[in-house]
Amino acid sequence: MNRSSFSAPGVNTDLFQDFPRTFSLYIHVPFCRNKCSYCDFYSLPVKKNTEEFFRTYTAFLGRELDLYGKILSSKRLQSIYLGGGTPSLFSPELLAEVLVKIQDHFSLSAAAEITLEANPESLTEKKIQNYVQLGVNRISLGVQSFQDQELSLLGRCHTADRAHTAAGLLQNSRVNFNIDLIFAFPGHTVKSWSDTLDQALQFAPDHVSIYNLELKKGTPLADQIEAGEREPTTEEIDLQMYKKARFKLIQAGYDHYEISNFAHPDRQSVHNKIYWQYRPYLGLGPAAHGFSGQKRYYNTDSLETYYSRLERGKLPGAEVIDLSKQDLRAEKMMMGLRLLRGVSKEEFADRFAVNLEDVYGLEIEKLKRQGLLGESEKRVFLTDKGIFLGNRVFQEFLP
Amino acid sequence: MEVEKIRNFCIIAHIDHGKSTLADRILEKTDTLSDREMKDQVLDSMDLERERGITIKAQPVRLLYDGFELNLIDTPGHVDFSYEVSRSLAACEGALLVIDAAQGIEAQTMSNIYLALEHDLDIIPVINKIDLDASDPEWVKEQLLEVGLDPDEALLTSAKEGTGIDALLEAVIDRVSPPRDNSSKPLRALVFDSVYDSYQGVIPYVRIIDGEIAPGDKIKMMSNNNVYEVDEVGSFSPQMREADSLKCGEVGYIIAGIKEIRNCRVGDTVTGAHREAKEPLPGYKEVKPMVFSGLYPSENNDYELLKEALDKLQLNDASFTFEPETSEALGYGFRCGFLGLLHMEIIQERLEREYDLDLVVTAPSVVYRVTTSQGEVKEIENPALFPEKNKIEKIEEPFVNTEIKLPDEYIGPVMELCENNRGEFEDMQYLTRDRVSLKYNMPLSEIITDFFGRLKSRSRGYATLDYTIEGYRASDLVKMDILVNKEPVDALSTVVYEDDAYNIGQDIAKKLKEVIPRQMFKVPIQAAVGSNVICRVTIPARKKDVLQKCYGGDVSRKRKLLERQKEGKKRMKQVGSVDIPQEAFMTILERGSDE
Ligand SMILES: Nc1nc2c(ncn2[C@@H]2O[C@H](COP(=O)(O)OP(=O)(O)OP(=O)(O)O)[C@@H](O)[C@H]2O)c(=O)[nH]1
Ligand code: SF4
Ligand SMILES: [Mg+2]
Repeated sequence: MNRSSFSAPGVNTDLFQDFPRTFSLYIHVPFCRNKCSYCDFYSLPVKKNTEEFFRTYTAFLGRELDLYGKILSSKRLQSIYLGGGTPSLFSPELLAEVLVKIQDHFSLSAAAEITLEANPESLTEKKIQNYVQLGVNRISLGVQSFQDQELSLLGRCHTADRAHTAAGLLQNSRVNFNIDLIFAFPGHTVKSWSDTLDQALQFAPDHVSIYNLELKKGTPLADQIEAGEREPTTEEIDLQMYKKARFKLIQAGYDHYEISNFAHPDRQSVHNKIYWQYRPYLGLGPAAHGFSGQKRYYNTDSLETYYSRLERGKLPGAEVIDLSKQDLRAEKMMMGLRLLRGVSKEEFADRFAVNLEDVYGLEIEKLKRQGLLGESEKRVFLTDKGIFLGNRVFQEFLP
Repeated sequence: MEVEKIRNFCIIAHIDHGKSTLADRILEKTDTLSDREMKDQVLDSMDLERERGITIKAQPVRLLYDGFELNLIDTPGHVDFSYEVSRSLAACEGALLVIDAAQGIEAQTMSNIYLALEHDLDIIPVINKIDLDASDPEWVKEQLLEVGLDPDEALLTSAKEGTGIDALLEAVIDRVSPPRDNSSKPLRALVFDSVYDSYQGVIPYVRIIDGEIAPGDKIKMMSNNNVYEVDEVGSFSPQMREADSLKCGEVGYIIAGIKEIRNCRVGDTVTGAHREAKEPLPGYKEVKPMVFSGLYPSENNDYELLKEALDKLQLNDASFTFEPETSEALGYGFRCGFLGLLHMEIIQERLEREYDLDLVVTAPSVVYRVTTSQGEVKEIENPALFPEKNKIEKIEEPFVNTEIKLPDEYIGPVMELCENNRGEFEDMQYLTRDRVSLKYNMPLSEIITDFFGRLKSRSRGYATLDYTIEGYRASDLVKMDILVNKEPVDALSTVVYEDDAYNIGQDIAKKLKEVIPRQMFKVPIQAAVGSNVICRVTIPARKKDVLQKCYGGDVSRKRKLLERQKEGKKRMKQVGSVDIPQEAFMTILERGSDE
């Protein structure tokens, strides 16, 4: 792996020549009402709906899109994902500007998925209608929990009630939607988790994502644990919760298709699958990242620098990571095995011009012996045990 | 310089009585260093010395005063570094015996007096820290009389405030004998220390006893007859400073392209290749290490590096020993002998810092004397090599006389601590109205299992500990093995007092359970004496370990986390199929949470 600075000679634009005919687009919206107690994403708290402030931001997003419009030779998108942060803070008018700008430069394939992340406090019936009219065809709602006490521990700025309202609105609107839930935070019990899952299922979401809390250094929650003010959950409870969720969701007719994701048939996330299949995407906005299929790049993670670079007509990238053959193969395994279907041997061979067995034969044998990996004629995949111990599996493939 | 104008002396004392600070004042008075170079305890030049506030290495320095050349050697006070002192004494004619005016004569003061007398040195008693409110020079003088030194000869100083330094320097010139003038004899120089330099090779530090030496001379090491040509000689300022020659009586260094470490030993005599001395100088008594532990490179590939580092470090500290050894658990390493626990700690740290090595260290052990049923007596310094129980007739272990000084309010808990560690009460005396000296006889093995740490915590840091070896005594000892996943781990074997085996076994098993991460399967940990399992705990299997949120597909973040996990695993030692982190091998050292 080779890191270089974005402005170093020779790296500026060649990576964008790697992009294939069709790819995906991620747009980062780095604003939230409040900072959650576990959050270490790049997102700035903004107190009011400062339309003016957001307008400046979308204008710069426009400039970034303009630049890519010039550099990229192929511009066909199969999915767009507006993530954050809290994109639902944007008014439909602002979102319209962004979507129009995208279409100035890119064409969308017929069934392109357009996802918008939303938080309950900023979602209204009117907004949903308008978003959908603009072409958004998937909404991902950050509920995290349906218990007030837990929401307050997580530093979320909505109540359980507000979450109900928002989920209800989505259900009625018939838009394809996802509910995000978090488990295994300090003080979390299997009982309340089970209740949260039941409540989520009442809204019949098309897709459910469940994430076990990861404690990130420097977040208030991690600090509290470090200071001994809160007890982290145990591995046993975490496992019980994960199993509980799996059981309930599968019972309710969802496919467990990725380690943390469940969906009704045909409702798997197109955009997220791009990541897991290790395929190219372009990332826009501060702290966004993109992948050309050969190289990865990171945008600057400061809004100020983002603005000032674009002002000077420069791409806001901060770093390009040159991935070696070994890196690419390892990351393909690491991401691909997250999908429970696993990694296709044929696809691997096509992509890297070498057989999976020839590269990772020993690793695969070892993991099979440990009961973590399964193998069929066409694919390798995580076993039930391997799903719980994914890190053990992924590690084996790292160079 | 003519020989009559040379004075060679060292500063000796119990730890912390102010040797290095006194040396500072002497350096200032003689304008040896510029203001810019000067700092507190300037002769403590190693980082480790500065961090810990103690002297570890003896440090020579040359001063000019009133037309005289003074070669001073500052020595360490801690008992673990006494070999540094005895080597320095052999290069001197006189010694400043420093005594803290508030503490009086202590254990190392006494052993230093004996050493100085053995070397026939002119001793100048210096009562230091007279600025302290608690100082009592009259009381110290009475003590001096009791040990046979003339109290009227004692000087009074405050190294802190710089009082009494002129008188001190005058006394050195008047009362320390000049070296004997043997300039015309064939060269004999005593190697009292040495360092390794990657460009120059081994650089011996010498005291010229007979003759003189200059660049271009051919010299011979008398122990092995190797011949070298001298490139450079010089003195210490305290950095090496080149000179035209080293004359009879002087202290300095020799650079002679000595590349082979083994060819230059501390205690050896350097003579002229063309005009050879008949007899080498007496050299040094070998020291006997008291505490042993296994040192292993964390990365097996670093074995050669470790060997090289030990070789080089031994040049600079001849008081530790090492022998190759292998452990099933830890691979190839060395069993090293040290003069004490502090010495062990310092050597490890120097290896890690100066040679950039990562080490796994096994718990320290004393040297046991085992008589087998056949009547054979073996000295065993590695518990893993203990013969089987039924083949042992008798086991003896070293006992020490300890003296603990502490404020009287902590007597209760400290006596309890000593008794829990098989201490036999000897004596208790009030030193002052509220300060007490406690004397106990105790097995050395108890002292080296974190006794000092526990003593400090029971006395809020106020107790001090000194000990001297008393001799060997028979004890009821057994070897205790630790089995991880049913396999004995040799590096975790210990020798314990039979009555304590159960408690210690439980303690170790619990600690191991905390430090060994969960594996993919259940791992039982057992403590056993012979075939008798005395306790068992189980580490549950790892059940869930999978990253979930994969924000915006950021592979790098995930990858970093996985890489860190993998790296951590690599640094562990594999025993059977269990990954054991390196700190586990030290857990047998930390006994209980203070009972
Ligand atoms: N008040 C007072 N403190 C002193 C005096 N001399 C030394 N000290 C202090 O005593 C402590 C120990 O001084 P050092 O000079 O390092 O003692 P040392 O004898 O060289 O110690 P080791 O080399 O470790 O044996 C330091 O904190 C000094 O500042 C003195 O004359 N008066
Ligand atoms: S809503 Fe998401 S991005 Fe915003 S603060 Fe909370 S966790 Fe962070
Ligand atoms: Mg000192």
